[in-house]
Amino acid sequence: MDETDLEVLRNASIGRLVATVAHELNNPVHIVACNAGFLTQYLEGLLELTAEVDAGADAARLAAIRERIEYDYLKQDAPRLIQSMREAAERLADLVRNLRTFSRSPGDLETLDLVEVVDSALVVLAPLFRNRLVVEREVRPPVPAVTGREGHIHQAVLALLAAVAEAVPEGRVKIVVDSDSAAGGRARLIVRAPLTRTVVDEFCRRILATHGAILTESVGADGVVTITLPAER
Amino acid sequence: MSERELVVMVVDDEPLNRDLLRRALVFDYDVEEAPDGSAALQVFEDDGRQVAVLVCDHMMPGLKGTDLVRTVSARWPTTVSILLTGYQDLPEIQQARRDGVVFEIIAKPCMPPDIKQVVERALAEHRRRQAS
Repeated sequence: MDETDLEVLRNASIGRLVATVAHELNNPVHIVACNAGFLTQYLEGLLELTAEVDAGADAARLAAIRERIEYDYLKQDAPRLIQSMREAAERLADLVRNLRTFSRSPGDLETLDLVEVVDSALVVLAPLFRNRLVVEREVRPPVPAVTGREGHIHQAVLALLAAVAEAVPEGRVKIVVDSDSAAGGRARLIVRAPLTRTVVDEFCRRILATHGAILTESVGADGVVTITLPAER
Repeated sequence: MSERELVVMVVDDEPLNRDLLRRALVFDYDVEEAPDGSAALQVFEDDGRQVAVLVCDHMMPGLKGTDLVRTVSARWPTTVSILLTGYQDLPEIQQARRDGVVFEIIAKPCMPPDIKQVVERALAEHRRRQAS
């Protein structure tokens, strides 16, 4: 298999994730957009009130406007509304930041933290797991740094975890990142889940092979996928 | 009974979505909120006021939306249930629709005016059920 074949596999793998990511992007965008509408409504009410104050309206008139625009509720809810928009925007920024990592070209060999790779993948794949699967992530330090092409390693782990999410109808997915002392201290990723089918696709297998990874996979109620990567050279 | 006295309960485990639903409805109705199905049922049990309309998410930890609307439909039959979901093709949702325990399914994400419109129709259905 040459680089062109690998690129085709990579594109197919990324393509499968587009719908998932679109869903995850859509939610915070929707929250920001709707809250912007509410904020406009709040602001219009408050501007009307201040205009009346400027015009010297009497207390009864101001009280009537306050009641109509639900001033007390606005005052109480406005900070919460702005906080909602902030949180949604931060979620969006976080997702985009993680997404960039996965869309990168393979890049040169560099030092990588397997824990960061797994965490980035879990952010992007959140909608695949949410409210259906319980994901337990455990890091058992020290986890050695690995050497690899950043884009490829991220994409392989993303493809693997996406396939796990799709192969497990419901239940628990346990993800452990540690060091495999029996294999000379290689960095290790273990995924335990009730797998209904194999999850390591050709793209993932190929990428891992080029990085000197050792891969084992078993399906069933006690399904396990283990990947060990050579420690930084 | 004025619209203000009619309780609309919103159930969603995502606080930002719940806030959005409240903002869409609070200027017209008395809104109760719950973060999951169990908390919602507790409000049904505890609160003397009658919940006219239930607006709930489907994918929630614990009780799913369809489980909640089935329970509510059986025990509080005048309450009208609306399901919000990004997964309207799921078999359990289609089954809930066929069984008549869901008044309407709204695809997420949904705009506040759409929610208000459906809630308005659901309130008319609630009045019809109370009258019959």
